[in-house]
Amino acid sequence: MKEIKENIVYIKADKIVLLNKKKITMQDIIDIYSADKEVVDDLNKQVILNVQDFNREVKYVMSILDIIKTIVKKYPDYNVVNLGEMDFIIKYLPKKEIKKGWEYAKTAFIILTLFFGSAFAIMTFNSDGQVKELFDLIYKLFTKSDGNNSKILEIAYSIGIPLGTIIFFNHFSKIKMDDDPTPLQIQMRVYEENAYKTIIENSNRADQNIDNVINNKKK
Amino acid sequence: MGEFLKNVLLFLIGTTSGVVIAAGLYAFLVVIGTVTRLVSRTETSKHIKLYEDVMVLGATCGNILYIFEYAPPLSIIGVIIFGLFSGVFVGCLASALAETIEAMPVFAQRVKLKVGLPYMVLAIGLGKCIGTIYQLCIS
Repeated sequence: MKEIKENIVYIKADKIVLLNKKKITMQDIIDIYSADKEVVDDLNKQVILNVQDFNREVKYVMSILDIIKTIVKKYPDYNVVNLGEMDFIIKYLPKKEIKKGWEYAKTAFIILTLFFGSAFAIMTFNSDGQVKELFDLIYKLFTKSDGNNSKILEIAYSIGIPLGTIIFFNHFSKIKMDDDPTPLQIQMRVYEENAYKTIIENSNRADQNIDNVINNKKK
Repeated sequence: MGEFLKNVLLFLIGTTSGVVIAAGLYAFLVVIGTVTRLVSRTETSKHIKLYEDVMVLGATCGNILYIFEYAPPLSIIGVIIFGLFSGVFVGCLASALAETIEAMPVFAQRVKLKVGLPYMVLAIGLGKCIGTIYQLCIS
């Protein structure tokens, strides 16, 4: 009996790929694996995209189906197994001079905003919650005295505030509590995920004019 | 002895209140996404750890300023800087809040708004500015 060899090509795409090249080949955007090395080498060299405008930053949304079409056209008797994303984004970035001054200015702006903003936030909270009066009350109740001369509650509170923030953010300066990503880093990733999903969805809708169908009743 | 115990108790109460308050406040700020948006707009996400350190410092200084009413002598320039950057922060916070409860997207969808979204944003910004000026300066 003739042995039927299974020809399988595995492909895996990431959600987004940042590139600087003008001729974008298969190898740049997805990972290909197959038991047949020659097939992989050949496919890797296929040019998928030619960037038109070299000076602008452009995003291309591609469906994995386009990749599969290219592979099947060249090797019709191979099975293609997709292990990665269904749609992905190719982002072309022109080589830009990194202006150090501008980077510092942006960082400084955010640092100042966050510093004064945090101070402001905690102060509005304290005055909303009338923390000064509250501490007076606690001191009088607990020590059955008339005045609040020793500022021990306030000092303890002022120590607790940075402590709580550090515990929440998982680190301060070089001191780390844990190797988990900090809450801000997690939020950044969540935001990026949503952004990529929106880009892909927008591109799909633009193809099908879904946003116009409701109003114009066009097929 | 009783005096010492009282002080220990008071110290504990103060510290734990501070910890809980700070953690709650910052959980709110982070989840609402103020900082996230600021950072991603300016594409400086590799400094996130630095920003977190800055927030710790800011909260500590603000708290000391409020509770002990002690401040470094910064004169009118310090006042203007404080106001300006607090304003930026509060503006981001208010917008992030509005966006989290999806006031604008729902409205735009009901009205089937197609054009003019940037003008809506500009109008909201101007409205916040005028409203704040009126509330804080005039009345």
